[in-house]
Amino acid sequence: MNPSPREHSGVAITGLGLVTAAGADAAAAWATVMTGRSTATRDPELAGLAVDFSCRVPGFDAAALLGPAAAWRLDRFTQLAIVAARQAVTDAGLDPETWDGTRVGVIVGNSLGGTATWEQQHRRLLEDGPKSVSPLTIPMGMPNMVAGYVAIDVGARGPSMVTATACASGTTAIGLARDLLRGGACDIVLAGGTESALTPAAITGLQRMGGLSGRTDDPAAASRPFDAARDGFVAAEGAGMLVLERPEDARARGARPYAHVVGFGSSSDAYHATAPDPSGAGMERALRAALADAGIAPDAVDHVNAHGTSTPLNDVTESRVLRRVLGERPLVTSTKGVTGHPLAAAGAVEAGFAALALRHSVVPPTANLTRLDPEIDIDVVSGEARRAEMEIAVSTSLGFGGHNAALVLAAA
Amino acid sequence: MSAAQETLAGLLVTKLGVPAEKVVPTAAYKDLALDSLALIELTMLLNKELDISLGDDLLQGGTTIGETVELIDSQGVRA
Repeated sequence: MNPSPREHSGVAITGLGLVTAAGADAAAAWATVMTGRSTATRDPELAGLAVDFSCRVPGFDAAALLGPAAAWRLDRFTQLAIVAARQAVTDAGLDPETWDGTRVGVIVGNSLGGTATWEQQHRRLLEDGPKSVSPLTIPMGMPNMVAGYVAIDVGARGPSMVTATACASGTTAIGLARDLLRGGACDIVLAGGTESALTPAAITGLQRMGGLSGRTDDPAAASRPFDAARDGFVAAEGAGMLVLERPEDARARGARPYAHVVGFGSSSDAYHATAPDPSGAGMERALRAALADAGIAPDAVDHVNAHGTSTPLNDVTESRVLRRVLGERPLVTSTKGVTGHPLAAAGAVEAGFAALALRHSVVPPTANLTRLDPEIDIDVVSGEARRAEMEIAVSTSLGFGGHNAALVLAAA
Repeated sequence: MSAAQETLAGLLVTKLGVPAEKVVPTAAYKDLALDSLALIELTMLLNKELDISLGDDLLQGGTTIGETVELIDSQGVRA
């Protein structure tokens, strides 16, 4: 069978690892997302703060999963990514013992690094003096270390790096990974994103800038993308890692892809530090670039896993761009209603969900969407999942700094 | 077992994840897969637990568990 032109220019997603508040592997996370029920709960580690709830990965035991040394030597954002990477590699049917590691790359999106490490060590410095500060502070706290540690864990000796485009980081990582594969620099790339910043100073910073939902009386109702009563996002942790390969390589070894990444586009608002350009011009350029890259007409898009953060500004701006570019046809969802917003991990987690939606021909519902904002004029799936035969999905991500990124996925 | 020995063994196993069966007096840290950063971490933990003041560069890869106990005991910690 000859590859189709679309497949030829794209890359295959052959493995998926998801460690999220909705579940600690891809199957569990997808099952929870399909219920459309929020995972936000009160968070004991945020007790006493103005926002005291989050979406945390339930029962994550780093020592049991990664061994006791990893539990104290690695910050949680790295632990989550290694577990997700291992899941993805196993899911792809690849064996790090036998692959040529020099041809394997690792690209991981991360935004805030090891905030737990920084906050804990700073407390020690102030309370007990310099001699109490761990020599592991730097290697635990640096954002890039997640790429380094994933590479160590799986023996990936090709290019490894962290992409930092805030909440678009995971999407950027997948786009960059695709370029490394298409350019021939790598034969396999582990690409995704990770974040674990549910720590007092980081959460307070997000709250003070007005990003977070303040619905402290009802955390489970707080993340409500596109709903008229939305008031901000719910901070989450998580990691999503994808194994990407050229389609011909995947086919040659008999792998069964979830979907193909056939287009990527990115842009910058150059407008404001944290607020999206209300015209949506930057996001529109990223989306149109991704479609052009894929060679796909806007009206061919069946499904959008939107950035849909549940902030008043994002959701209305994003929905206008989706309507303007894609029309009224696509079934839109924001899985952040269920998962919360895992910041730099979001794009990777959501690309994974979009791939699963294509594979299973079903779009999960947006949690807590009971009354669509009257300003929003797109077909957002709510209440129950909606079945549909779908060929093309889009995943959008926007980040502080005005970073916009979009992926186009095609059914395998 | 001296207090020092007990504390050291406990920290190695519970905090640093060294398998208990490897914690023997003749074992050197390099054989326990503990690098220089882990040894500074261990030194910090010992200083805090035992209220002593071992220097950051005292424990090296070649230092054994038995030698460490002697170093601690020389600082006045006794069973």
